Amino acid sequence: MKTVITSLFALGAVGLAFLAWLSHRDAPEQRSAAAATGQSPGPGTEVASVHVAPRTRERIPRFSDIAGFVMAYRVGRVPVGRIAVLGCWWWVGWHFFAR
Amino acid sequence: MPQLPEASSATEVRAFDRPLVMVPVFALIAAVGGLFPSFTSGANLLVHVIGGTMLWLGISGRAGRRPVPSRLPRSAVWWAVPLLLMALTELWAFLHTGDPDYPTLSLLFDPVLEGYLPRAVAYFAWLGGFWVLVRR
Repeated sequence: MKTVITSLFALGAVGLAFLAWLSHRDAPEQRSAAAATGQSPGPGTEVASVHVAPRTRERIPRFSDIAGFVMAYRVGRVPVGRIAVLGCWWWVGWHFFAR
Repeated sequence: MPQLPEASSATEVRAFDRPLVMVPVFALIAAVGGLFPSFTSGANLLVHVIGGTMLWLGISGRAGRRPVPSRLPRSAVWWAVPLLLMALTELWAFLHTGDPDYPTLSLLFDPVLEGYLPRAVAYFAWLGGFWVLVRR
């Protein structure tokens, strides 16, 4: 059973790594598309804007985009999403390095 | 063609918020953090000082923030697949706590994090992740 559980964790980790790679591969296309539509270009645009390849699939957002989206959630003036995400990451560090 | 998500405005980048400054600072903290084994007061103190500081920086916005999308494309759901797989596996293992045949993620990492170098590297990765989140 230990092998099964370890394999499932490894499969999940490989999946995360693959999605991270996909989302970063899409990132230069976002920047070049932004440059083409006249939006403010970011660092590295001069390299990325060489090609704007047509794509049939929707881009995969970066994990930090998702985290940023969740962290923008507020209840009134309280940044609930920000506290939850940063608190969760704090707990991860405590759990692995101190508990 | 898929639409680009609208981004909210970013605040100005501070002078200290550059890789040239932050990477050596995090490397130094990670080098110190790697010295403390688990279940020690030093390890607890360091993690909580860092966590508290990062939380304060993240909430106050003193570190500056990068633009975030105001909405996410449907393809964001793909991230849920490996995350759910890992969460359900963790839950499954957690429900069998005490049985060594059902190790949780932290139990699997414990032997790895006992060594100084992997512990310091993992500490550095945790700090880097924290900084990415604080700047969002």
